[in-house]
Amino acid sequence: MPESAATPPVLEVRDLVTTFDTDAGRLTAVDGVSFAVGRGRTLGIVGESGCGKSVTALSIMRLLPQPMGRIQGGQVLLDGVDLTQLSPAEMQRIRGDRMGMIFQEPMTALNPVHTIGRQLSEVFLLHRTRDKREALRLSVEMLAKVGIPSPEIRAGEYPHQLSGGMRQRVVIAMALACRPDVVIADEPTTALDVTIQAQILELMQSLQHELGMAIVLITHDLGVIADMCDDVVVMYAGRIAEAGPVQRIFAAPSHPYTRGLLNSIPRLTNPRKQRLNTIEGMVPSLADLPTGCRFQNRCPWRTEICATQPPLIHVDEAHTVACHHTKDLPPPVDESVNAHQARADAAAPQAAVAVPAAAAGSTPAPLLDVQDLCMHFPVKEGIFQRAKHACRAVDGINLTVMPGETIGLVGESGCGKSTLGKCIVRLNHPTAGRLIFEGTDLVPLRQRTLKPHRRHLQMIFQDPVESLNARHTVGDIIAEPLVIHRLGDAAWRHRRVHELLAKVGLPANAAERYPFEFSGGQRQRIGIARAIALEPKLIVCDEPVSALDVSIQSQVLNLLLELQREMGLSYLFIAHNLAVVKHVSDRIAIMYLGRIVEFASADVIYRNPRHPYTRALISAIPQPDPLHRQQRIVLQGDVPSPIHPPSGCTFHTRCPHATDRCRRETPVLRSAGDTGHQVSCHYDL
Amino acid sequence: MKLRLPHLNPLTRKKFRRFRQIRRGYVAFLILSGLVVLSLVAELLVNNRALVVRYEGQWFFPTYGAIHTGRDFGLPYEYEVNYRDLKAAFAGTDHWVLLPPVPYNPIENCYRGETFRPRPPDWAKGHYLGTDQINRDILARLLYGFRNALIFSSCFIGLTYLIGITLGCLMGYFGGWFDLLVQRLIEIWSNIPFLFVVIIVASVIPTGIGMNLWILLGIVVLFSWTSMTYYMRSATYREKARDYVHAAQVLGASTPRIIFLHILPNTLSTLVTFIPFTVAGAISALTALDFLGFGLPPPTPSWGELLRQGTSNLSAPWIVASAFSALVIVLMLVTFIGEAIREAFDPKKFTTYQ
Ligand SMILES: Nc1ncnc2c1ncn2[C@@H]1O[C@H](COP(=O)(O)OP(=O)(O)OP(=O)(O)O)[C@@H](O)[C@H]1O
Ligand code: SF4
Ligand code: SF4
Ligand SMILES: [Mg+2]
Repeated sequence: MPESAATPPVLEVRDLVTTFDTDAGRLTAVDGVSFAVGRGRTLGIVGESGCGKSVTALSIMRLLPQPMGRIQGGQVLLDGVDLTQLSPAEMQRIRGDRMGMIFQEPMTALNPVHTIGRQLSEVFLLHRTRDKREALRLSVEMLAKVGIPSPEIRAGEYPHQLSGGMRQRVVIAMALACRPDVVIADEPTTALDVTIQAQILELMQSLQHELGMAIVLITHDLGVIADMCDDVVVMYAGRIAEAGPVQRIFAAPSHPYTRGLLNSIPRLTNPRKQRLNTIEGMVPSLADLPTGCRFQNRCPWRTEICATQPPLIHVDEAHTVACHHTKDLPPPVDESVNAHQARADAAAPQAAVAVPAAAAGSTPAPLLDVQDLCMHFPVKEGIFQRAKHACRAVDGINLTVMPGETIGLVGESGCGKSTLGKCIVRLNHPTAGRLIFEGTDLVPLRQRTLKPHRRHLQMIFQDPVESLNARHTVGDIIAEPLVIHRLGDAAWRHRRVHELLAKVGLPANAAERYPFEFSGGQRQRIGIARAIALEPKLIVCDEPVSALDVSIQSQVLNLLLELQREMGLSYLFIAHNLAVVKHVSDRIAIMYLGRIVEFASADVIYRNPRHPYTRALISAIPQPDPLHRQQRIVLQGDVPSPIHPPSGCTFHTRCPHATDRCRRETPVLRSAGDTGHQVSCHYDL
Repeated sequence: MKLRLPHLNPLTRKKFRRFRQIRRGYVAFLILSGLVVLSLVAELLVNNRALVVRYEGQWFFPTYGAIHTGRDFGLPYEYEVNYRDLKAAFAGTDHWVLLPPVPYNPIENCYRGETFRPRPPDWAKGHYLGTDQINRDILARLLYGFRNALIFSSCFIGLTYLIGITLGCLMGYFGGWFDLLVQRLIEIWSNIPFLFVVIIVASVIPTGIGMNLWILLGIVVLFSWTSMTYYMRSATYREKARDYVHAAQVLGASTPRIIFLHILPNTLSTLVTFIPFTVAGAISALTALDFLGFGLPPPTPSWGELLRQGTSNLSAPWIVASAFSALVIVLMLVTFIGEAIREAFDPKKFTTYQ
C-alpha cells in the first residue's frame, strides 16, 4: 500500500543481536536482524523452528529468559525511543500499554487461579485507571469487542472454563486492552483449529482496522502470512534471508531458502501424490554454524563465495535478499501460476476424474472394513466413579480401505479422528461395531489372539518425541517389533535394522545412538522404520507430519509415498491439514463430532464439496497466495462437546443453512452425485 | 559370553557430570561416602579387640575371629582377654599388641569397678568424646550407632520402595477396580496411628525375643510404604498414556514387557532424586524412636538413646553436643546431596523471566 511509505515506522528494529548462555557456550540466536513496521500495517516473520522468530519477539518485549538471554547489540525503536536502553520499570510501563503480546498457547498466557475479568482489569489498573469498578467495566467492553458472547458472565469465569479459541480471544483482549501501538503475535493460531484460526485471524484484522495498531505476526504457516501480512521477513538460522512486500516475496522469491519453502508446501491446487520438492538436510544448530551463508549446507546453488557472509542486496526498492547468487538464480517457477491453472480447471465443469482404480472395476475385497464402529467413553462422576454419561468420541463410522489405497481422515480437534485410528489398531476397545481386517473381525479378539494380526496393522504417531522410548537405542527401538514377534536371530535382526535405517534414509550408525540425538524429522523416520519393520499391510498415520517443519514435512511425506509405492501399503492418514491430506490420499472422509459427514475421492472433495462443514473447512485454510485472498466462510462458535452432542444434525449449531428439520432429524450418509461421493446433509446445497 | 560394559544412556552420563559440577553436593557426597566406609570397617578403628597380637612367635588377628581367652596369652582367666590390660602386661617383653586408634567397644563399661557417671573427654585414655552415664565410650557409640542407622535406612529404602513400586505400578497400570480398592485400603491403613502401634508392639513382644532392629524395621516399613505408591501410581499412569507405550502395544508387546522394558525404566529414573530424602527421613525416624525409648533395645548403640542420655544429663554437655552434632552433620550432608541430585536430574533449569 503506497500511502504507508510516507508514514514513519512505529516500530523499528536495527541490527538486533541476542545471545543465550548455554552448556554449549554462548549461542547467537538472533544475529543482526533489522525491520520496520508502520502504523496499521502487518509484518510477518516466517521461518522454521529454531530460526529465532520467537527470540526476536521476546527481545523486542524485553522478556528474554534470565539470566541466560541477553540483547548484545542493536536498537529497538518504538516511536524513536530505544527500548533496549530503558530501565526494567520503564519497560514495564510500556508493556501492556504501548506494546501488547499474543502468545501461542493461550492457557499458559493466562493465570488459571484468577477470573478472566480480574486478569483483564489488572491491565487497566496498571495503565489506565485506579477505579476497580471502572476497570471491570472496561474489561467487559473489551471482551465484547473480541467477540465473546455474554461478556458479563464470562468475565467471572476461569480460563479452564473457556475453549481454546475463547482463551485466545481473551489473550487478544488483554494485549489490545490499552490500544497499543504495536502488537506482537507469536504463532497466535498454531494451537487452534482451522475454523477457529479463521475466526481469530478475522478478529485480528477487524481490530487492526478499528484501532490502527501495527502487528508483528510470527508464524511458520506461509498461508497465514499470505493472508494477513503486508510485508514479510524470512528468517533462517538467526539471520534475515529475505525481506520485502508480501506480493513480491510470493511472486518473485529471490533467496534459495524462500523458494525451497514455497516449493515444498503441499497445496490444495497441486496434483496429488506427486513428489514434493524438498530442501534437503536440516537447519544447522546454533552451536556450530557454518561461516558465511548459513543456508550453504542445503543450498543447490552454493559456490565457493558462499563461504563468506552474503550482504543484504536490494533486488527492488523494498525487497532485500542476503544471497550471493540472487542474480544467477533461474526465474522463479511461479507456483501460484500452476495454482491458477488448476483453479481454472476446477472451475470448468468436470466429471469425477479420479475415482480410485479399486472402486471402479469389479470390487476386490477391502483390506479393512469398518462397520458401525462406536467408541463411547464412560464419563465418570462421584466417589463411586459410576458412569453417568458417555463421551461419544466415535459414533457409528462406516469405512473401507482397499489394498494400496490411502484414506484421508480430516476434522477438527476432538472430532474423534485419533480415537477412530486407535480403535482400528485396537489401542482402544470399541464399544460397538465390527472391524473386519483381512476377513477377520478384530473387535472380539483378546491380546493374545490379536497378536498375529498386529503384524499387518501398524501405526505412526504424531509426536516423534513421545512415541520413542528415550531410554532405548534407536537400534533397539527398530528391532523391538522383530523381538516381540520372535523373528530371526540376533544377527539377522541386526542386518534388518540396518536395512530399515537405509530405507528411511538414516545413517547406519544411528542404531547405537539414542532418540534425543536426532531432530524431529529424523525421529519421525525412526518411528516409520519401526512401523514398517514387520512389513504391514495397513498403517494408521495419526498426524505424522503435524509436529514437523514445512521443509521436513515434505521430506517425510515423500518417504511415506515412496514406501507405499514400494511395499503396496495402505494408509489411514489422519490430519487436520486438508492440504496435506489431499496430497497423499485417494479418498477423504471428513469427520465432525464422531461421525463422517462427507466421504469422496480426494479431488472431488476439494473441487466439489457438498457438505457445509467441508466447504467452511476448505475456505478456512489460508492459501499461500497473497493475490487470491479468498472470502472465508467463518463458522461461528466452537465444536460442541461429544458428551452432549446437539440433536438432529450435530452440525446445526454452526451451520449457516440450518433449518428446523436439521434440529429434529439426523441426516444419514447418502450418495450424492458422483460415484462414491457420500454426504450427510438433508439438503443438496 | 562377551562381557558387556554397563551401557549408560548418554543423558544419564550427562546428569552425573552435572552432579559432579555442583560442588557442595559432590563434596558432601564424598564426605558421606567416606563416613560410610569408615563405619563399615568400624571394627578396625574403634574396638576393644586388638588388631594384631604377637605372642610367642605367633601372629594373632583377633578383630574378626573367635574369642581368645586370657589363658591363650598367658593371663590367668578363662573369659575374653582384655587387650588393653594385655598391652600393659606385655610391656617390656618380646610380645606386643597393636590396638585400634580407639581401643573401646560401644557396649563395654570402660571404668570397671568405678562409679557410673559421665566422664568428659580424656585424650590420654583415648576417650576423645568422653563417656556416657554408664561409662561407655561416646565415639564408639556414635560410630556403631551410625552403622545401625545406615543398615536400618538401606533396608528401609529397599523394602518401602519394593512394596511401593510394585503396588503403585500395578495400580497405575491396571487401574479400574483394583486401583480403587487398593486406594481405599491405603487410605484406611494410613489412618492407623503409627506411634501407638509401635508402643503396643513394644509392650506385647515376649521378652525372650525383645524389640530388635528387624521388628522395628518391619513396623516402620509397614507404615511408610504407602507414600511411595502415590508417586508410582501417578507416574505409571502418566507413562502408560504416552505414545511410546502405545507404540509398544501396537507392536503386540506383552504386559510384562511393557511394564519392565518401557514403563519402569522411565519412572524409576526419577526415584533416584527421592533417595537422599528418604534416607534422611529414615535416620530421623529411627533417632526419634530411640529417643522416645521405643526403638532399639539397650545396649544397642544408637543416636537417639545418646540424645536422651544427653538431655537428661545436661551437666555433662559433651554427650548431647556430640550426639546432636553428629545428627546435624549427617542430615545436612544427606540434604546437600539430595538437593544436588535434584538439581542435576531436573531438566528444568532454574530460570526466571524478567
Ligand atoms: N481415553 C479417553 N477417555 C475419555 N474420553 C476420551 C478418551 N480419548 C478421547 N476421548 C474424547 O474423545 C473425543 C475425541 O478425541 P480424539 O482424540 O479422537 O480427537 P481428535 O479428532 O484426534 O483431535 P485432535 O485433532 O486434537 O487430535 C474428545 O472429546 C476426547 O476428549
Ligand atoms: S549465498 Fe550461496 S549458499 Fe547462501 S543461499 Fe545464496 S547461493 Fe545459497
Ligand atoms: S443437515 Fe442441516 S444443519 Fe446439517 S449440515 Fe445439512 S443443512 Fe446444515
Ligand atoms: Mg488426534
